[in-house]
Formats: sequence, C-alpha cells, structure tokens
Amino acid sequence: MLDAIWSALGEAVTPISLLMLLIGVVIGFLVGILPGLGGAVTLALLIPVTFGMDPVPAFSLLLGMYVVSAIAGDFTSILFGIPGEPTAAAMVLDGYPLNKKGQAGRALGASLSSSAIGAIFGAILLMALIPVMRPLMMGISAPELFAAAVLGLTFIASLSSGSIHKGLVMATMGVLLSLVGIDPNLGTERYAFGSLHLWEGIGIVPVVVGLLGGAEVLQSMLDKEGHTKTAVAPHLGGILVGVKDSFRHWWLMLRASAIGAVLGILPGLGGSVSQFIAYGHAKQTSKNPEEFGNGAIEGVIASGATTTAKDGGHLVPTIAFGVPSGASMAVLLGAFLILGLNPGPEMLGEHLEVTLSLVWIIVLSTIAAVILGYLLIRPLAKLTSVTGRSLVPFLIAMLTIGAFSNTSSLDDVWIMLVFLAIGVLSTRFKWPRIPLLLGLVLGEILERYFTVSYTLFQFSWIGRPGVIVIEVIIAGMILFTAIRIALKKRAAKGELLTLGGRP
Amino acid sequence: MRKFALGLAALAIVGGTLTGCSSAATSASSSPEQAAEKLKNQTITLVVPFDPGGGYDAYARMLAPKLGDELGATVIVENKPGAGGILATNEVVHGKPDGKTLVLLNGPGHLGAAIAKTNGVRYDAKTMSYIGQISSEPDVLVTSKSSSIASADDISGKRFAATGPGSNEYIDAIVLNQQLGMQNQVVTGFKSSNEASLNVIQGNVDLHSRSLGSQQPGINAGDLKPILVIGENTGAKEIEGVDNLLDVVNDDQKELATLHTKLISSGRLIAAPPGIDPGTLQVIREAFEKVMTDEAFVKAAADSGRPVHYASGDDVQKLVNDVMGSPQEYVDLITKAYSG
Amino acid sequence: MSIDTIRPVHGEEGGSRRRRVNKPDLIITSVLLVVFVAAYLMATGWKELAAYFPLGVSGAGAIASASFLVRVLFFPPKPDAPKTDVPESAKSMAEQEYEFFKNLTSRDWISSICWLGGFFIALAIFGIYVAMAAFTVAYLRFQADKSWLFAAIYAVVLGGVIYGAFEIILKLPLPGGLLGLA
Repeated sequence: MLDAIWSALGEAVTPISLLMLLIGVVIGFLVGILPGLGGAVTLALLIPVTFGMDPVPAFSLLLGMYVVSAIAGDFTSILFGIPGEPTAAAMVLDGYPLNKKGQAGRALGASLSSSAIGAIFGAILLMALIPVMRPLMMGISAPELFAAAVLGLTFIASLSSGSIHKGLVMATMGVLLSLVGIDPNLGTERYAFGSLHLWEGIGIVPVVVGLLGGAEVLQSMLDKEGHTKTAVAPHLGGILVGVKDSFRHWWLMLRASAIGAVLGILPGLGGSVSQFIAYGHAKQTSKNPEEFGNGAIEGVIASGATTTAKDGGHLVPTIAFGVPSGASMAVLLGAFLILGLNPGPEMLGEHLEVTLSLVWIIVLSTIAAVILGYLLIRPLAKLTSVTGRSLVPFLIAMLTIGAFSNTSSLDDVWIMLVFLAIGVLSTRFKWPRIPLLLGLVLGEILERYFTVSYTLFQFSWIGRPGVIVIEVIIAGMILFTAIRIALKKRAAKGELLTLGGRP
Repeated sequence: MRKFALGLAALAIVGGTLTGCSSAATSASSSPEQAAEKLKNQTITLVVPFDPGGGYDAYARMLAPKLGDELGATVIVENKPGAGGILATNEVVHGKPDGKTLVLLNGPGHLGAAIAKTNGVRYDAKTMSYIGQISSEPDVLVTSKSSSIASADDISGKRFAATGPGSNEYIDAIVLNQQLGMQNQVVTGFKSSNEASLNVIQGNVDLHSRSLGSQQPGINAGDLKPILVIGENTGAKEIEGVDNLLDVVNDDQKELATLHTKLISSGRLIAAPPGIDPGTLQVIREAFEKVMTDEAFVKAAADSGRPVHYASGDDVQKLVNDVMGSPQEYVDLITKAYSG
Repeated sequence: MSIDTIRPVHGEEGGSRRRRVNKPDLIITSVLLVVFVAAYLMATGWKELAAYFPLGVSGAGAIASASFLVRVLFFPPKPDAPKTDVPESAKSMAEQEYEFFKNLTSRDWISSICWLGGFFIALAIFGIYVAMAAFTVAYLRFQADKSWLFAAIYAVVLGGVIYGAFEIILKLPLPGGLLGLA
C-alpha cells in the first residue's frame, strides 16, 4: 500500500497532470465564485475534454476543478452575502457579517485555511478507508440516512436566532415546501398546482440564492449613507489573522472536517445538510454562542472545513460501489467509466494507484487553490469597498443567473424572487430564515428514507449498527446541551445574586 | 417618486424599440441544399431533458461536436431536467421547427408516458420529427451475487427495487409481474437507480431491472448477477446465455412481451419538433447517419462504455407508430406503471 | 461581562409596562397557520403512502403555528427595556439588519419594488442582456447618481463578462425572455 501511495504521487505530479490540475483549479475558482453555476454542470462540460487522456491527468482536471469550486463558493458568500454554491450557505451566516465589519480579509483567510484543512482531512479519510470501504458501504442504507437527517433536525433550535418557537414553525414550513412535487412512491402530484416545473420539487439553488442573497441586495439598493457597511476600507492585513484564527481553533476545524467527511460518505445526504450540522455544532460547543450570526470566526471555520471535507467522503460510495452522492459525483462516475475504470474491487485492487492518485489530486489542488486564493483575496476584497448602490446591478445579475442556471428555466428565477421576498420579510419582522432552509433540505430526505426504511425493514432498522451510532450521537448532544444550559443558568443566577445582593 | 418612474420609463422605451425590430422570419419549404445552407454556421441546441452526468448527457455530448461538423454548425448541449423529461419534451414539441432545436429522448420513458397519457404530457409522440436512434440496449434484471435466485423461475414472491412510478425500472417490474403472473412487491422511493442497486447488492431487496450499460459495472465487479434480459439482446458478454423475457413468457403473453421488447429497444432517440420542413429534416437525418456510421466514432463510443446503435429516422418513426398503436391491454399495463 | 449582565435587574417595574400584541407576528403566524391547514386538507385527498408524511408535517405545523398564535395574542413578551445606550457596533448583525429594514419609509419600499419589478418584467420579456443593460444604465444614472458614461461602461463591461463567460466559454443558456434575445 505504501509503495502504491508514493507511486500514485508520482503519477499526480507529472508535468501533464500538474498542468491539468492548474487549469482545473483556475476554472474551479471562476465557477465556484458564480452562484448557481455548480460543479456538476462544469464537470459535464469538461468531460469531452478528457477524451483520450490518461486517467490521472483527466482526474487532475476534473477533481481539481470540483474541489476548488467548493472553496471558491465560500468567497462569494463572504464578499457579497450570496452563496456561490448551495454548500456555501452556512458561510454567509458569519462570513458576510465579518465582511460588513470590515474584516473581509480575516474571514477569507480563515475560510481558505479551514477549507484547505477540510479537503486534506477528507482526502486522508478516503485513503484510510480504502481497505474497508466496501464492507463499510454494505452497512449503509436508508435507515442510516434517515437517522442522519434526524440528527440534522436537532440543530433547528440552535439555528433559530431569537425565538425557538418561530424557528420550529419555519422549519416545519421548510419541510412542507420540500414535499412539493411528485411523491417518490406513488407518483402523486403534491402541492405543485399543475406546474410541471415543480414536479421535481423546489430547487435548492434558487432558494438559497434568494433567501440569503435577497435581503443583502435590497440593503445595498437602499443603503443611503453607506451605514450598512463600516465606512473604513476593508482591512486586508487580516488575512493572516484569519489563518491564525483557524489554527487557534484547530480542534473545531478537525471536528467540522470530520462531520463533513463522515456525512459525505452517506450517499444521498448531500453537502447542503452537513454544513448546517457543522455550523450548529460549532455554535453549540462555542464559548460565545451569541456571537454566531454576528461575525463569529468559529462559524466561518466550521462551514469552511465541512464543505471541502465532504468531497473525500463523497468519493467513498462512488469508488466502492459506483453509487454517486449527488450530481457532481454522478458526472465523475461517468468519467471513471469513460476512462475504463470500473468502480468496485477493480478500483481498489488493479487500479488502486488511480484511486490513490485521487487523494493526491485533492491535496495538490487544495494547495494550489490556497495559493491562488491568497493572491486573489486582495483584489477581490477591494470589490467590497465599492459602495452599496454601484454594486446593485452586479448583484442582481448574480442572483438572476444563479437561479436561472439551476435548470435553465425562468421558473427558477421566479422561485428565487419568492424566496427573496420571504428572506426580506423574515429579516424585517425577526423570523429566522435558516430553519426554513434546513427544513427544506431535510424534508425530502426524512420522508424518502423513512418510507424506504419501513418498507425494507419495518422497524427492525432501529437496531442497525450505523443507526445506533447516530442515535448515541443525538442523545449525547442533547445531554451535552442540557448540561451546558443548566450550568449557564447556575452561573447566571450566581451573577444575579452578586449583583442583586447590593442594596 | 420621480426616480423609479424614470426607471420604468427607461425600460419601456428600450422595450418599445425592440418590439418594433423583432419580426419572426417565416420560412417556406426548401430543398435539402437550401436547408443545409440555412443551418451553416448556426447554433443548434440539443436539449437533454435530464441532469448533466447521466447516460443521456454523455451521449449528447459525444454526438454534439460530430453532428456540428457534419452540418457545418455549432451544436450545443442544454440540460433541461424536469418532470422525468416531459417538461423539456413539451417545450421542444412546441418550439420552432427550424432544425435549430433537437432533443435527445429516453425512448421508453417518452413513449411510455405518451401511451399512459400521464399527467403533463402535452404532445402526440407520433407527430414528432425523428432524426434517428443513437443507442439501444436491453434492460437486465439482476440480483445480488449471494442471492438464492438463479433464474427467472425463482423470482416469484421476491421484491423489486425501483426509484418511482414511471421510471423504466418500475415499468419493467410491473410488466414482469403481469407477464409472469406474479404479485411481487415493488419497493419504491430510492433517490437514484444507483442507490436502488446498492440496496440489491446489500441484500435488502432482491431484484432490480435497468439498462445493460448501468448494470455492467456491477456485474463485472461480481456484485450482481444477471437473471433476465428484457429487450433485444445486443450480444454483450455480461449477458451471454441469460434468458430473455420472450423465452420465458407463456404463449398467450408473447404479443405483449414483444411490444414491451420494442418499447425497451426504442433506446435513446434524437428528435426535432413536429412540422419540420422536409428538406431540413433530410439534411439533419443524413448528417446524423454519417456520424453514426463513422467507424472511428462508433469505436470511440464503444471504448468509452457508451456503445451506439443506429436506426434511421424512418425506422424510428415506424417503431413509434407501432408502440403508440398498442392494444388496450398493453396501454392499461403501462398506465398502471405510471399511476403507482 | 456582556451588556446584558450590566443591565439592572427589573423587578415589578418591568411588569407594569403595557403588553402589546405584535401585529406583524400576528399576521405572519396567521398566514402560516392558514397555509398549514390548507396543506393538511389537500393531503387528505391522497393515497395513504403519499399522504402520511404531508399530513404529519402540516398537522405539526398547524399545531406549532396555532400555539404560537396563542402566545402572540395572549402572552406577548414584556417589552424590552429600551436599549438606547447600546452603541451601534455592539448590536448584533441581525439586530442591525432588522433596524435597517425597520427604518425604511414606504417610499423606499415602493422604489425598490419598482426597480426590481421593472428588471424582472423586462427579463421575462426581453431577456437578460436587454434587461440588464437597461436596468444598469437607468439604475446607476438615476438611483445611484452616477454619470451616464460610468453607467454605460458598467453596463457594457457587465454584459461583456456575462456574454464571454456563458456564450463563449461555457456555452450555457441564459434567459432570453419571450422574445428570445439571448
């Protein structure tokens, strides 16, 4: 195995591979920054380019592009408050406030370094799992996915800033919205009101773009004296501060990476869920949870690490059994087959070197992305010093194109507008919008996998090993939170007593 | 108040001038030469009604540059997923029949939905202008390698996996149930057919039918074993010696089995909107034929795991007419497969 | 020590302040309740396998929003002690956003709705390029008080970047509107 690891590295650093990697990284950056334009479409566009190439250079291009697009997606979230990718939604929550405070450089630095660590963590996990990934995948089915979605639900409370009751209502509404479309079991049309476009449900891209980006655009439009942004020019010297921040919170960074990578292994869960779990976890375990949503660097670190760590995880089911998690992995799987690589034992034996080179490609492209990102931070962060109103046409173009490119349909632009309105109203009247988003991404998973679990196993699935692990995590988390709240109450009481004790 | 009124006014002015300028050019019937000239240097859109990354997308992207070369035009691929392909098909059918819009259809899904007259279908499959067939492969019913099922005789009482009603795999399950006189349960709700396949490998569910190309990796990896071929056997080594549906059904079911074989073998089709000018249709059909009979193209396609299978536009038209004229019994069966 | 702990502890004084029903919450909750109930009623018409989950979700939503409605109507929270002394920088971001939107006049709202509405109507009719160019020039000139030249250059650059990225490099479709201008 060790030999194979080194010879895989040799394959990954041949001139042609490195060249392809660099091209991939540059494309990935552009694609990641544009909202809506996701990795999947670009991968599909790049596939014909790889015809006739050797596997390793081909994957340097494809995987390099894909990994970097996730890193770059965070940039858009921080700079404009519009998520560059659906998986960069949690990054908006703290990255954008930091930017508003004039700490764009710090947020970008922290996001870049945590993304890098996350990606490398994911790659190492992928490598470590090579001997056991097939037996591991044999134990992962609908019940594990359902349990993971339930785990996601438990974060509603911590993601509802302000009122938990309002958060619950919004999350339930999100779950309800996720049911729009053709039901997965009987083909019944539910809440689609005859619109064929809604048959496949409400797309996550237009929702994320409208819900999170809309309020920001409106603020820029109405920004009279520039008071939504600190008047001082963005503080760029903070890049290194951000990098240091992320390593100061190294333990959080590793936990967030682990959350992303492990949940990434579950095919069908998707990266949109794990970012909120990592973010919610960071908030729950933070010493200053009230800082979250207000520019907490921990929020940036957790979301940054998770988004990139998922890629290593995603590759596990793809390589082990040819089961891709999500559209991008499906395209990559297509590339495997085109290049004559059969997922399964072949990629873990005969073609082990190619598989291992994927690990190296993730690591190398991350390093390249960090360097490129570091060079780009300055010019990009300067964009934020453009005052509110001048940015408006640009932002509206991003919203429109982002929503449209989901399915190349104007209907998605209208959906984006509806969620833009919801986002603005929630901000105006203090209703939390993140639970709505969480409900929307979890709803479909909850229904789908509960039904499948029940049809396959009735209720015996509750005792499956994977499910038990998640159940224990959920129980532990609830216990942990309860203890923390109790301790806080006691501390608060003590404080009150000392304060109130004075006459 | 003045400011936003101005905003609207500016848009209205721009709008007014543009409506004045745009006038739809109408084209009369033209000879193949004229038609070929008309398509030169144009952008032709090949619509794929599915997400990027699947087999349909792969075929479209393989074909697009070659077809563009033949026509002297640029062919771009546009993914328009939605409603199992019906959304994009509706749009194309009602689009301009100028040869600049083509669509890659999932034959069984396209025709199945049209036979079942499922909700949302707003076209008559017979009226479309078919360019030809790009691939055709049978469906293969598989089970896990450790399963006790050895042949089609053992599948009664076992469970099928499928994504949902109307999918090719669901239609197969319903048809098999009827033709082999079984009452097998179909477990639906899997997010993708790959996920359904993994559950078969894990032994959570027994049977799963989908296209040969999708089953090949699992069979080659030794995780899956083929039980039954549905559709015309194309001679792939993975399914050598495996029973065909036509061989295992009783005589009184032969007619329906043949129809179903036709439906599955309709494969992946290229089509243009109805009412296309005959000259233009001929030009595109000829260009398509040239690509599909080019040995280098056929070999490259087979090497990349996407074997092509050519049938002319006329043949496809005939097949569509046959399938659309199915007896009521088959229509009812397919309708059942769409209603869940 | 955070701001909250410095605040003096209120005893009876807080209770004497008049409780007021939060009207926006009342309206939003009522709307959501109606949606949940309607969703529930629609789901009753479906077959069991397709209906059980929507019924559960809309039922739970109805209960959650109804109970919140009761809270809004009968147990409004005590109004917070006025926090006028809190410096701008110490306010949470959500608070700042909330206040930003709260302080807008109805003129502001109408203006932005008109601009956005104008853009998206133009998009639906004329496609992205025309809508984008017209909006960019008009908005920058009249709303952002930039010069005609600046607005025109901005529009050309933006249009050029979009064209270059989508038409030339990526060959991806863009909204063409009813007139198909893309």
